[in-house]
Amino acid sequence: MSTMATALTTQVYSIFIKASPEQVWEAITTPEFTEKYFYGVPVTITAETFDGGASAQGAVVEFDPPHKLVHSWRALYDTETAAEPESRVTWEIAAQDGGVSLLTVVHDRLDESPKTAESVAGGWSYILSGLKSVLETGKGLAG
Amino acid sequence: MSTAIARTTQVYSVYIKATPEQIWEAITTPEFTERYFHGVRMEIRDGRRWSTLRDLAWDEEVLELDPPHRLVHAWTSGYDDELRAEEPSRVAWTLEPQDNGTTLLTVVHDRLEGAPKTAASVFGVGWMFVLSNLKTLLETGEPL
Repeated sequence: MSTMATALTTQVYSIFIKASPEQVWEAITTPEFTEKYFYGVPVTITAETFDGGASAQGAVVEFDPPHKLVHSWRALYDTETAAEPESRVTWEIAAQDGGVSLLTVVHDRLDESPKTAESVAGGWSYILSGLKSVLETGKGLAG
Repeated sequence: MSTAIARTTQVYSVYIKATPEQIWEAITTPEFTERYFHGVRMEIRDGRRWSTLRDLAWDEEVLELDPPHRLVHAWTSGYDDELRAEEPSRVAWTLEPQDNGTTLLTVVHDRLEGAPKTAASVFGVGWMFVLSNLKTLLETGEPL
């Protein structure tokens, strides 16, 4: 965020989406979905790896569809962020009333990765906003 | 939310497929606000923001009014007896046009030092439910 002088080392983002937890899980883990909202990057997530090609890579440490996903994070899209230690991303999906899901993303362990912390601070809001639009309208924000 | 202590400066942002003018209308028109803001009708008039919910009514000072870019107003939690007794805090809405007909809406809720219960009430999912609902209403025509 432009209003924050220093990016937080534990960043929490949440968004309510008119979709089932299963639909949200599919949108997070399937490249056909992610390329519509993850800055055009096709991401494939399995029980072992978070594979964002040349943009980001990580190892999956918890894989509990459609509730919880935890993986390490190394941002390769920038040489400075790529040189920093790995941080951690946790996705949690909680079913709400009325066919709505609450998606919460926690990006932490950023203490030794200030460039990454700064880079993702604005990015997560954009990604989650795009993910919500894709699921609710069929189209990403960039389209 | 996993955070135990609600911060006294809270920042939320969401990207919406709509123009700043459309978002401005949605945050200042009672017919819109009652559809996404927990049923509260809100109106800007005579330098104040007037809110009504069923038999409850309250109002707050407007500190900055620059349509369709920025709205800053005092915040009183008039919907709850315990919360409304706390000191007023402050809410700033900033609307910034992006590419592709998208607008970045940022809400900063601060000056919450004298309103710890309000801070906890609006923290995280509190504001994000309202902003998620606003986005859905503008993009699909129906709220969550």
